[in-house]
Amino acid sequence: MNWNEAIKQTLMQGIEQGFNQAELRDMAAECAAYKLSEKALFGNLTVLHYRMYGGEGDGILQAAAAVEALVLSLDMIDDLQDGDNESAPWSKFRSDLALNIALGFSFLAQQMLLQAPFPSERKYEAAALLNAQLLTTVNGQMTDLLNAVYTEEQYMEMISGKSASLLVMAVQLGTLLGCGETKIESAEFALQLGIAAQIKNDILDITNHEGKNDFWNRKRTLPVLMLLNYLEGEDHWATEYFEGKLSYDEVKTKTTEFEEALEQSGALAYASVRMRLAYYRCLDVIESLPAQSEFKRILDQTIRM
Amino acid sequence: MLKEAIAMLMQNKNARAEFQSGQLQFAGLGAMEQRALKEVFKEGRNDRVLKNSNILLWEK
Repeated sequence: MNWNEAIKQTLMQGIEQGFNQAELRDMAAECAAYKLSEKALFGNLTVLHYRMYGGEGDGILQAAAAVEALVLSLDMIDDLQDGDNESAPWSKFRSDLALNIALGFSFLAQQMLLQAPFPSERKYEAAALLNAQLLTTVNGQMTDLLNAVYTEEQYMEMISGKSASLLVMAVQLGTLLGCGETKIESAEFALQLGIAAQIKNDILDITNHEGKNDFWNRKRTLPVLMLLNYLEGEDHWATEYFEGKLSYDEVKTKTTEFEEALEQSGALAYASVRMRLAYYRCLDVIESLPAQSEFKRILDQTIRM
Repeated sequence: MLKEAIAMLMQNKNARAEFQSGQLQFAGLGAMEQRALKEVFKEGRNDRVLKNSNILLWEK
């Protein structure tokens, strides 16, 4: 079971109501259509947790659409900062306009949540939760942008803030609106899922040998950190490249050597094991949830990546 | 301990075979870690230690 289409329609209605400037409305709708052509993972998790914890009615779709609007806003800003998603509509817009649309989605999310049909006290708590997790994300993003990650612990802290906090926000929002409080097990489930997903993204990136991956961009992800650790103390070109002593032009022909070093170092194996450990913990939490087995089955299906 | 286990499995083909068959176990690792290692180090193709599908996919 998924609520993709219902969440998409609700977000489109929100765009119609919230953005009355014609170009803003049309461009925002294009961005939302692009984003929601994929699975609306965050919004679906919000609805599912709402139902799991006793919530009833369709009002939750408004909150789920708000979650998707916020995630879209942050995705757009991230892409504008990194300049690495040429296929997205916002990458083809003028950057000043794209930034304004992203800002619009951020406030639209707040507005949609505050207009959702829930008691004021519960909505206030939900809005506070949304803002708190958003601040965690912005802090994590700053660390990522500064590339200020030198150890595995710092990497885990950064992805817990940047990547996992949005999933925590999505599930906790549904939980809170469903039963009036947040749950530790929901947060743990989302945290582990977010960690697994980010490590998977980082493995996918570094094993993509077309164009410049995280290594060539000198970005310290888990597999890159493990590779650099392995090479530490050796007089290796990769270390010198990462320290800025060699330019990309000087090393760009060494892709085969890079691939060999990456495999031999055990960096991929280690990252893959860490990814799996987070995922297994996530599945363990699902098993232990005090929910009907049907909800657990849907949750399990929803998170399969 | 996990890093040491990976280093051993990366370098030693016999250790990989023994680990997969259950003859070799890493005392310092928990059941989850052993399970993850076994999935990552499933026999690779073309003499590669790691197979892309083992790195990226997981089964419940």
